[in-house]
Amino acid sequence: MTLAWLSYPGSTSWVLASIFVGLSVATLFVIIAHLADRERDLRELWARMKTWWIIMIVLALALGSAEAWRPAPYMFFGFISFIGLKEFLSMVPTRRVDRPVFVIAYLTIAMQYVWASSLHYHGLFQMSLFVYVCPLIVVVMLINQRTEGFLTSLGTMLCGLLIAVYAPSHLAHLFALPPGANPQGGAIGLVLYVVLLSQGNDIAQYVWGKCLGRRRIIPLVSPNKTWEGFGGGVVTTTLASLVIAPYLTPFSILGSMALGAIIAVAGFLGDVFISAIKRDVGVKDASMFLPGHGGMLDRIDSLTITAPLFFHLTYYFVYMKGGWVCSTLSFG
Amino acid sequence: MFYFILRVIFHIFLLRPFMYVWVGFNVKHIERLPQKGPAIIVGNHNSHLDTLALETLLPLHFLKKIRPVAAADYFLGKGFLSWFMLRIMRIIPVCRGASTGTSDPLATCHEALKRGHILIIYPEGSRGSPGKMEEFKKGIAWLATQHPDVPVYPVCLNGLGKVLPKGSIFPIPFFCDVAVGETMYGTEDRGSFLCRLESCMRSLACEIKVQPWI
Repeated sequence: MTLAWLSYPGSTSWVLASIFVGLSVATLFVIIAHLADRERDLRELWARMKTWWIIMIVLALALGSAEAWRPAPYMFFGFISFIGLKEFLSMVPTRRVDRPVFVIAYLTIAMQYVWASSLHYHGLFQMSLFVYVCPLIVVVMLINQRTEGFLTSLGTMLCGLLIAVYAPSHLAHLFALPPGANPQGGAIGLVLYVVLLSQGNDIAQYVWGKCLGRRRIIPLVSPNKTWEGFGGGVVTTTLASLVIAPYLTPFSILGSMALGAIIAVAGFLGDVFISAIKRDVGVKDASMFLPGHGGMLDRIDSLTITAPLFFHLTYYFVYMKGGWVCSTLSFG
Repeated sequence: MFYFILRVIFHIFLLRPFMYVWVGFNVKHIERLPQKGPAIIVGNHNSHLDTLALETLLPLHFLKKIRPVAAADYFLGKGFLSWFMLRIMRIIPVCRGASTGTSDPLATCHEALKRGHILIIYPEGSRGSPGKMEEFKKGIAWLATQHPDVPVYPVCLNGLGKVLPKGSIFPIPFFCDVAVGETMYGTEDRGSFLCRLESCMRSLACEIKVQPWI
């Protein structure tokens, strides 16, 4: 089997290679831990590790195929949206009379990723969910004339679309930016940047919280989150951004530091946001789709806020060259 | 043999992709599922997909042995459906309601168990409303107590009633929660076995939490 169709521009291939080296080292550590103490139950950790491998391999294949086969990243993120929406609709209370609305919700995924495929559709990509899909859902819901639970049902549906479809589609929309926007690594570099920092921030906050965590930040929603973990995460992610930004993105030193901090704070918010939803409906994991991790929504929780934010900041400051903000204040 | 190949093709190319991608499972205690036949799998019935889901959860090499027990009055005598059920799904048709003649209505089930088959049976008798468990019929108790050496596997399925409830034809994607219970044997009398089975199913239903329709 040849993988000749894969192409990774600039230094993205090196970044991907280092990720796989890192994964190998982590896997080796798990094996050593198992050999050192065979009594310890490492099945959960092992499942988690295995799933990380699968996630990274599929991500690398999907991103690398973009050059040879344009739909590849859209299909990949569309699939993530599909699983996420399915998890969301399975865990929240819904009404049987709304079955036609679910069909519309799932069709919205296809629509949103078609709009994501080109900057010509950028306007539709940004607003069709609110201007077209929302009224359509309202109309379909009105057919049954059942008003009890109407607002709850409409609200959950829109929230689900926002979390599972609108937010992840921004990662795919990065592939619609012209290649000149990021000579370092193209869209692949931008996607890797935001995904690595969001996931790395989760891990950094967890590790800092485990080591130093004392004062809890939001105990009623997420009892394990601490100020120390949050602060450590912000610092670590900002520094990590400073290190990887030159290889993956066109951002300046100041820009990459700011983005790192923004991703750390927004990632924390996304994490707590999904936690609050899960706590409200009384589930621990959104599903068992990713063994060792829980569901897709548990994995992409921080991206639900970081992805759209990152896209718009990049779009504004790189593609639009800062708009009038930069020309007026004359920086950038 | 020809029908068996058709059944394998149906499973690999249609049923399993549909079940794993379109529907999706959250399975608790999957390791408790039968490793060999004969066995009786007892499920709660909410949707036509229940049998297809249970067959998907079992490994492919069991396909020769799996025999769903299905209502003769519903599935037989309707042309294609009847052909599909008998040849591809390989159901054991059973007459519902009180038996009228002298012959045992479960004779074919006994026969299948003796040949090492895995029966799938729904003691509720009908699909009922989603998320609600009806009272169990006694057929399963007859079967289990007459074969006290055959393990009974209670499996609670939840969520498929939302994917394809009674009366709808288009399956909408939802995750389906499955909990497999501890193996049971029909060593006591029929009444207490049925009680034990029912309480086991209820505790399994509590173990998985699925949002019902509101």
